[in-house]
Amino acid sequence: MNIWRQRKDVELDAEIRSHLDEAIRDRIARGETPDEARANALREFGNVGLVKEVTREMWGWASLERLVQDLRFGLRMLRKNPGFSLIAILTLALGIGANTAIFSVVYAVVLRPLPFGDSERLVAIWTHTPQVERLPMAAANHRDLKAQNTVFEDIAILRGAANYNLTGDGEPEWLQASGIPANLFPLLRVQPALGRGFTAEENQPGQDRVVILSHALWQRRYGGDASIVGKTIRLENIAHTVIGGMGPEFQYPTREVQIWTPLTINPASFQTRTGYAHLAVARHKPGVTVEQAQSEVSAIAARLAQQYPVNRDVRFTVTPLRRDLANVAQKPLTRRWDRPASGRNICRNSRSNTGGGQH
Amino acid sequence: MKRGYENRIELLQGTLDLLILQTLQWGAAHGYGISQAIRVNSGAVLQVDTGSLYPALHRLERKKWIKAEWTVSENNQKVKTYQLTAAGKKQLAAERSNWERLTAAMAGILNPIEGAEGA
Repeated sequence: MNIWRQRKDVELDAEIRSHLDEAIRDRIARGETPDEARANALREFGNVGLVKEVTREMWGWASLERLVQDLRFGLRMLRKNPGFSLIAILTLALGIGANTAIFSVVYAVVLRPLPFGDSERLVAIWTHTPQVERLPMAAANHRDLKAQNTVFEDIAILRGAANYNLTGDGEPEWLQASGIPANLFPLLRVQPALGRGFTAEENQPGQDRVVILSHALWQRRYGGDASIVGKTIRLENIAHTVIGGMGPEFQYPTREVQIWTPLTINPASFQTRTGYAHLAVARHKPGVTVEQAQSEVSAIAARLAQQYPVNRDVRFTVTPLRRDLANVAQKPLTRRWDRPASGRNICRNSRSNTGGGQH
Repeated sequence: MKRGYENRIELLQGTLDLLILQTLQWGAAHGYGISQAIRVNSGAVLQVDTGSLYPALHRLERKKWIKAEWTVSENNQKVKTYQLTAAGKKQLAAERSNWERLTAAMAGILNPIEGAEGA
């Protein structure tokens, strides 16, 4: 029902009402009582609804004709004012384009669920000091947090990024890699698309000559061949056995990672308690809130601060993993549009990028 | 019921249009006024049904032979009045001459003896 037709309907009602009023007035003037006049006028008029219906049929396609006229008029005006038309079209195009672009980012960052099982329970844990508010995790602190907390099902630490030269089976390539522990995949609830994940033994120095390929690398360089599992590839000219390949949705900790190696930890770092080099990700137990998790890690941090001088100013902060990955995704926008990378920016970028930039 | 109305519109269409245009020749009038004028001027022989009158008025308006306007009647009431347009006046002249030819022809057929006697 368009507006034109609605207005015509209202008008038709008024027209018929005035017809009846005039008829009633005439009859009263001729000596009928108001009640008689009303009844007779209505009888003489006949079925009001039916009269309206047959009258409406006369309007026919008038509203459509008007629409066509309006369209013609609009097109004529657009042709007559090409400058205005161009600006109007550009405005619309920019508006639609900007909205689409923003939606794409918002979707990727905020709306799309993380590609991990039960991802609402995943959090990142950062180290907080008076000098730097967001530092990665030291291996010793991770060990203590893991041993002392009651709120998490598990905590994993990983090295954000390392680089390897891949040689021997074609063009040499420079790969971004991430060193991960055996418990990462179970914690994130992901499975390799091909082969298996790392075992705890493979996280021991000297037994770590195994790799898992990203979906992109597996497809691009090895043609998606499943028989790649069990073959060796050369990283930094050292033979590594391929034990698995991931699905396309697994891009953790960053999209750029092309290969995963087993995380190994230098035992000396448990003595120094420093080396803030690891991203920490945890899954809290069902029913535990981020606030509860935060208060428990704060309590542990306070205990460690009393126990070890080096921990005196160290605190931990818990953030939902989604927001944490959003920060990573914001990075290119910040870098490109905010301002030329100042020292501080470079520092922050490299931290979220590499998990400490210490390697 | 509706079918009945449609048939009557079909039957009356040519003559009703002419009657409306003729009535409006003397000035603007609203629907009720038009129906009363036709009734009175025909000596109460012609009773225009509202189910024919209003469709006819709206059809003529769409053909731009008459145009409508909301005015205030002598009884101080808002009424929709119709008046002839220039095209309507031309149409009236054309329909009148059609009608006169038709009635003359009808008369010739219906009264052949009178016509023969007169000849």
